[in-house]
Amino acid sequence: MFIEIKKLNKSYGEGDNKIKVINNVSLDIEKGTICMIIGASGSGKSTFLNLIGAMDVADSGSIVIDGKDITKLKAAKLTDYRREYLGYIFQFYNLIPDLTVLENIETTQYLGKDNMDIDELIRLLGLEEHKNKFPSQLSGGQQQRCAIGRALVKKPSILLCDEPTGALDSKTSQDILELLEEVNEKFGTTIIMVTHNNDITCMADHIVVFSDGKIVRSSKNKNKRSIKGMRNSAL
Amino acid sequence: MLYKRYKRDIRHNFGMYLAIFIILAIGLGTVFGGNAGDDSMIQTVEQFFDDASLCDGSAAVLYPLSEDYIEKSSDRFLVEEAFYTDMEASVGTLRVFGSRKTINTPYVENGRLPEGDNEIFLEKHYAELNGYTCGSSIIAGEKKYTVSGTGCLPDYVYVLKRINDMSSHTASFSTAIVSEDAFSEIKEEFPEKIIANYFFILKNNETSESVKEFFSSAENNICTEFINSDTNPRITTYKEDCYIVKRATFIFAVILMIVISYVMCVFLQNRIERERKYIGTLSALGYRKRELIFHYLGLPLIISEAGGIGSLIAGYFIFSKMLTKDSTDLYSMPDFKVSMPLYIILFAIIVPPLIMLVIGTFMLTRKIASTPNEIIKPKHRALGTKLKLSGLSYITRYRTRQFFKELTGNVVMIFGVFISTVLLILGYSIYSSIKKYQSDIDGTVKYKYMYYVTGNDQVPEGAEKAEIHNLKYKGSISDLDITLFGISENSRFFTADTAERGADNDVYTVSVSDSFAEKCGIHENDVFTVTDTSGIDEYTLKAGEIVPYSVGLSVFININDAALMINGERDHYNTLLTENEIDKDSVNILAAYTSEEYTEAADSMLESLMLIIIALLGSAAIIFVTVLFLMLKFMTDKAKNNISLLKILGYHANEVNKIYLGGETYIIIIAILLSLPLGTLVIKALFPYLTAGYSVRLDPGITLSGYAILAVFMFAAYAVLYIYLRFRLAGISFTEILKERE
Ligand SMILES: Nc1ncnc2c1ncn2[C@@H]1O[C@H](COP(=O)(O)OP(=O)(O)O)[C@@H](O)[C@H]1O
Ligand SMILES: [Mg+2]
Repeated sequence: MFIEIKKLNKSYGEGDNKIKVINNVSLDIEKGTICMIIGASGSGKSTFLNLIGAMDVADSGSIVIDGKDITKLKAAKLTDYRREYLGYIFQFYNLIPDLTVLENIETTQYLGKDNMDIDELIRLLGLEEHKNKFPSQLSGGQQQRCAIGRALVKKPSILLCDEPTGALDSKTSQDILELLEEVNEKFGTTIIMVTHNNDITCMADHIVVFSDGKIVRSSKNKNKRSIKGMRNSAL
Repeated sequence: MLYKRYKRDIRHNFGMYLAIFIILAIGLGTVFGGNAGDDSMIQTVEQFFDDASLCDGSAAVLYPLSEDYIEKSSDRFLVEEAFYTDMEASVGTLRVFGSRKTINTPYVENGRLPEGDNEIFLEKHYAELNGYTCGSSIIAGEKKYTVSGTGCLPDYVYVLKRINDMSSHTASFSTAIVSEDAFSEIKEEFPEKIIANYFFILKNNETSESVKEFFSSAENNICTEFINSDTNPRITTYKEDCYIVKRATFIFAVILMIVISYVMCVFLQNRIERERKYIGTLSALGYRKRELIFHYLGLPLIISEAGGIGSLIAGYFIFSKMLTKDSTDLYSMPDFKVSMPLYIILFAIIVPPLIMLVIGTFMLTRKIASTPNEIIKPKHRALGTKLKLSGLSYITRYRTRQFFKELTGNVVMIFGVFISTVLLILGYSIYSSIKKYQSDIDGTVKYKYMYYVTGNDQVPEGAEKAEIHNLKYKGSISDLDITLFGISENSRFFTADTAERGADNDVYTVSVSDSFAEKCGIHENDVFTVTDTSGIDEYTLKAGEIVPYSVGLSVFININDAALMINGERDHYNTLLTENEIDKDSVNILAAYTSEEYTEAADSMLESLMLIIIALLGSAAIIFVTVLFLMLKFMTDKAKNNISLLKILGYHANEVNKIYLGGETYIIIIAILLSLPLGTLVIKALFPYLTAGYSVRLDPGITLSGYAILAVFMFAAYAVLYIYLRFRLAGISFTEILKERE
């Protein structure tokens, strides 16, 4: 298994304020699949994603990625792990405001060993005309595409997305999701995506439902349909 | 509620508030302490002069005047006998006076004035340095005395043995008083050693000129010394020291106010920038300006008030003592308590919060003037956006962007480095200028011994005769001492052109030392006047060539011209200059000096300023570090989001440091390297003002090694901050970015 998570626990706060955010969670994710995590707000989805992304430290349990338990790694090694395996897409894009589109993408190109051709990527993202603009000069969708480009350029094997379309209108959201599908198909990137939009779970290979810090359901999606296909059929 | 918010604010911004408090307390404390200390010192000495009925001058004659003769002048001026004699004592030499009646009465600090035949009253520093207290016995002139008390004399605040001496050594030469009877005894025993000295106080509108006339015209007598109190270094020197402290702290204060306004500006700018969203929201909700100011400036105002009060406390308890200690050690004056003048107290309480309020109101008003939306989401600044950076390496490009983004911040930081460097240089240059002066002495003074002689003997082998006089020149704040060197045309010791020219309409042409010329703005062919030390006889001089000579302020003229000018006769000399000591029996020597005394004088000057130098340097150093700390902290705080992001993306700590601190390091190195020479220019321009009271020309004279020391200090300070900032950057968490959403 590519990603093996066992008995993961995480709490925040201390004493009376202590709340268990991730409660004994175990989950396996296969390589090259799209795994979608849904659940109510506050159920621990983002926390779970952050633990996989090594942005937060678990209290107990293990997260084995490609045979390595990242909960046992030291800070510098964790950085190497993020560098080698991870791409990250946020709900609020988080571009660096002082860098152009091109330069924002180069931020991670700098880190990768085997990078995509950046011009081709920008074409794929539909950002050719905007590549020398600054984030403040872009629409939300364009900003998110840029963020995707930044995540993809180094060809990460895992792409973590925390509500990537949460701040976008539905048309733009579909464009973004199609783009992610395409990436998954083309490069075999494992995508773990948090969303509160149940309508898009159809594109997932694997659906996980969180409630109060626990996985209440984890199932393969037998009726997988691509967003692109859905749109075409809707027309 | 408000209290709780302030408490949280303090916890979050502790470093910044502490920095502002420190700059205010230490910086203003130095200024206030120095000024309050000086004011109190001047007041104390002036009160002392009043209480002691300080004389208007003194005169010494060869033979005592008759009482009848003194009586003749009684309606024009009060003349009082103050004979003295120098006696070998157990330690060093004591100048022993008989008890004084109404003029220049001593200040008794311990014990009482002498009453019995074998009692003696000692000058306080001499007593203290040699371990004499009331009741000790001391031998003076082979007689044993008991110390009845210690204190000081108003006419010997600066205890100079000879009026022309350049430094005092109270441990080995000072003053003492014995009772009238005891002094009569001495008079009888050593009549030839008694100096017939008189104090005088002018009455009505009498001038000292007529007093001089009175003493000079006593029949069968010669007036050997006539000193005006106004120009008596024993009485006036202490004030010159106060001037340099006052002026140095004044310059310091002006620069400091710039630093303080600057820091507050930067602080508030940063704060408003960071909280712009809330400010925008509050103003959209209908908050009034006054309410916003209260909301955002409350704590900064409290902190600057605390800083002002802190400066009063630090000034009173630390700096006033520190900055006057050198003077109280050097000068013989009553002990005094420092009191904070009202103007300083008001200044400290009002000015710091006022600056904060004015700057804060201005900045908030400007911010609120834009629409709430603009406040919340500022337009991307156009600066640097047009830059084409292709071709540069990625990190370089990122850094360049970061530099342009922080352009204002960087310019502001460079300014901060510059202005605090000026403060550092100010402190250091007081030291280095005196050191430079000292080293100039060796290159300038070619003779080793200088003997004041009667001028009646055969000139010994190897000695060169000269006619040397001390004169006064009216400087901008006090009279400056000028030395007139009358030297032979082919002197071994001087290079100035001193051909005999005689006077042209009573105007003598002299070569002027470059030190004098520069200090007083004298150019070739200028005509200027000087006076004798009593300020009575006036001479008109014309500047011939300007010659390099940096020790003291000097003019050079032919020996015969000098004699003619001062004494009215050509063939005369009063000084012998030699490389080697001359045989004391062959010549009648009045006083002997060695060239080392110039160096000693500079040493004593340096000593009297050492604590000031340390105080200025110390607070400048603290201010430098604080300013740097604030600026770097502001910048990295602003970049927090981006740094957090880079870390999530997989950047290693050293790569983040490279982008965010690497660039700053270059900027700071450049800023420091530029600030040193530019700061020196500023201080150079201020130096004439700073040292106007000194009868020497001083320039900052910072040597390469001086620059190296300053630079090393500054780089070291930055290195420490750099390490601190690295830890800060390392401490920025990944989740920073997840919390702060646009
Ligand atoms: N840094 C934190 N400190 C304390 N509590 C946190 C922190 N991050 C998340 N939580 C809490 O953990 C719970 C789960 O949060 P999160 O994982 O963000 O939920 P979701 O993404 O599913 O909406 C919430 O109750 C939230 O308040
Ligand atoms: Mg979430």
